[in-house]
Amino acid sequence: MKRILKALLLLMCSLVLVLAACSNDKGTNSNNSSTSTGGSSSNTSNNSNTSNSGGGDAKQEVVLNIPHYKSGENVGAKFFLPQVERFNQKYAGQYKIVIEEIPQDDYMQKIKLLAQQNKLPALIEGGDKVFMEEVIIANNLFYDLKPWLDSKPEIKNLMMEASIDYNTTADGKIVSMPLIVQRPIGLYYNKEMFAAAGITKPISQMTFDEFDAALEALKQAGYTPLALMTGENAWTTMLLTSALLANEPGGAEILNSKDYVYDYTDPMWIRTFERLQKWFQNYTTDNAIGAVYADAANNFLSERTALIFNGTWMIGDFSDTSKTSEGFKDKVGTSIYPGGAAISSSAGYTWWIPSNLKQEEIDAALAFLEFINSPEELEAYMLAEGGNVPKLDTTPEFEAQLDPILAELNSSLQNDLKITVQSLEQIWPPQIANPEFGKYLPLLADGTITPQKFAEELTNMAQQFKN
Amino acid sequence: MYNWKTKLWIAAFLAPALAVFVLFYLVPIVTVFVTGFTKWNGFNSPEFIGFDNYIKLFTYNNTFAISLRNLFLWSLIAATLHVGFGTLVAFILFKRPCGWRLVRGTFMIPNVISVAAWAMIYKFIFNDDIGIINNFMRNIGFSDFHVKWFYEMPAAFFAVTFTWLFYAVIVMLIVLNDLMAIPKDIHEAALLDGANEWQVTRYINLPLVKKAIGTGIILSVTSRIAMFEEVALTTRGGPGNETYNIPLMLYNGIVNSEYGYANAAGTIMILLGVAVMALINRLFRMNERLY
Repeated sequence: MKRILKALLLLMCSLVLVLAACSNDKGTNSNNSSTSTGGSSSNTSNNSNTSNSGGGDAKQEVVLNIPHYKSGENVGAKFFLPQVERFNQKYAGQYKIVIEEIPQDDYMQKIKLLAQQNKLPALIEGGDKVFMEEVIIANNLFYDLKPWLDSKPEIKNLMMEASIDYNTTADGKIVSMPLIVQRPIGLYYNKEMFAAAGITKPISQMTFDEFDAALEALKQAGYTPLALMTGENAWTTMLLTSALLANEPGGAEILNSKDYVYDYTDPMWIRTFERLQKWFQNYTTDNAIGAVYADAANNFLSERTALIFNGTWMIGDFSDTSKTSEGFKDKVGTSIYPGGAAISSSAGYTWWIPSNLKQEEIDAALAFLEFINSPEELEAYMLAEGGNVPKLDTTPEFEAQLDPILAELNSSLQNDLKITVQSLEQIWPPQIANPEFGKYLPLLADGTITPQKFAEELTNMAQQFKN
Repeated sequence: MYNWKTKLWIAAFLAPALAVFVLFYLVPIVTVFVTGFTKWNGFNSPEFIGFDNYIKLFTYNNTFAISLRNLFLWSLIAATLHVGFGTLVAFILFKRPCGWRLVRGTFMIPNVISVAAWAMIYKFIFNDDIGIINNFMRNIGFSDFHVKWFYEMPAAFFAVTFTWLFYAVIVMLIVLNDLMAIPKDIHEAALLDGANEWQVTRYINLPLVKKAIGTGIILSVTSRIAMFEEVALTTRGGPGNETYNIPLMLYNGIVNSEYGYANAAGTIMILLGVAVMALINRLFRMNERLY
């Protein structure tokens, strides 16, 4: 009898272990202050310091845990994290956003995996076209922003019409926040190096042949012209390639395509890649192959190179003495690209909210979107990271505080802009934009493959995931 | 023969293990096999498309061929150099030289550091500007030594290989365990018969740890089939697709919401793993008794 009892006990323990291993975590959540619903990573937690004004009920602070790449050492963290902090202060006791650091390269992949697990966070920024259209929109996994935006005309009236169109689905829903701020991407150059090399013509008024000669002049003067990179998403190199393509006949039309482009074997692409190969071999740093953004930025900030292609969010780094020397900012000039090209796009997805959240989580997420699009925050954003809001009447204080480099870029835009194109990142399928382009660049740069072969390899890779 | 009561008890005790096996092994494996023949983005219902995912895997470009080539070379290196190194260390430690416990402990350290961390460490080791290898080469007189280890061929293949090559602690432990289990009287008999150290090692120890070495090879080669972090965090399969492997193809399928394609790659990995196990079992006669 004892043996049977022991055996039964052992069997029971085994079954309990199996059942415990197989059970989900719903039961455990009920025992603590956090709840997880709708697959969202957001949760609500008790806040013993707050209470309703009229009664004794403890009010709950809604806490949204948001994974985001604008954190840690990311260039976007400098403005974004303090902005989140301002939001948390404004809504103290009501809403709180906690940012979970994630590398930029891994952000969308993490979002895709969370979507698959039905655990999307309450706020997500961006998403590639295929993922958004074939997964999020097709399966109605987003919260329709239209009713909320209709109730907030002060925000909706600031939005760009083209961006509203892009974000509106066939049945009239708005997937993600349409853009308010335009941020044309140009380049930055070291004025001292340009002067020493005898280059006087404004870059935006040069042709690419003249720009090529300017790079040679810089090289002859003992400077390394370009801060290029192949690591991560090869950002600075991708921008240069976009500008090169924009100056090819038919290139601007390709770059402004609404759909992904899967074939890169047209002669205009080959010519673009030929010039890219030449510049990699002659006008960039030794460490460009394998360099990540931080390396490329450091090459420019430490005056190892004369030029970098990047957006206005980099301006803050020019006066950051932990990254560059005192007074470096005075040496920096800015411009749009040769041929009068600027890179900008209203076609893209920005902040969106997944469906199936609790109402209080939706309210918190909407409060954040409203907060970051308030006039004060928009001005703070433009002062920190550049850009302009065509429909916003900015304050005199804002105009007075506008960074001189931003003012210079605005001037370049007003005087020399001939074409505005999207970057290649917007017309390449995600797999090509990152990582395939950066992975094949080292082979192009060291001459292992020809520009034709480079184009063929990228085309093959793109075709692989074409639906 | 067992009576029905005994059979009931056996069944009852087997049930938990069977439940775990079915839930965590059988169901996922069958799912991988079945969905490998479907178009599935993880949200829609899987749609049967026959062998399309496999055709895509094999024929779009040379990525699959390169992945197989890399797997073959990495498996060869794992089965020879990697397992050989682990076995050598085990044989040395078996002699219990001065400090053997320290060496055994030190040999364990890489195993308690995550592969991701190792991959990042190796990115620094092989960095052209600040990496110790290139700087060492330049310091000893090769002033133009600027190999971009993870970004040019064939250096990238070897750089990835170095991220795991010498971490053979599992092999070492398995072999050392078998060496220590050899009955002492066998060694004593051999020594009485006049055998020297080399002959004891060659004709007694080595044959008696054959199964351990076989197990080490199975573990090492199957690790190469599933190797992901070492590649994804260093070369991402580059330069070009020169260090591509099948797990990376699977991963690309997932991030592109092509779960059918990803699971076709997963099926190939499973089949390769089974084939490797069958082959090594046969080569090393793992089912035969040694004593």
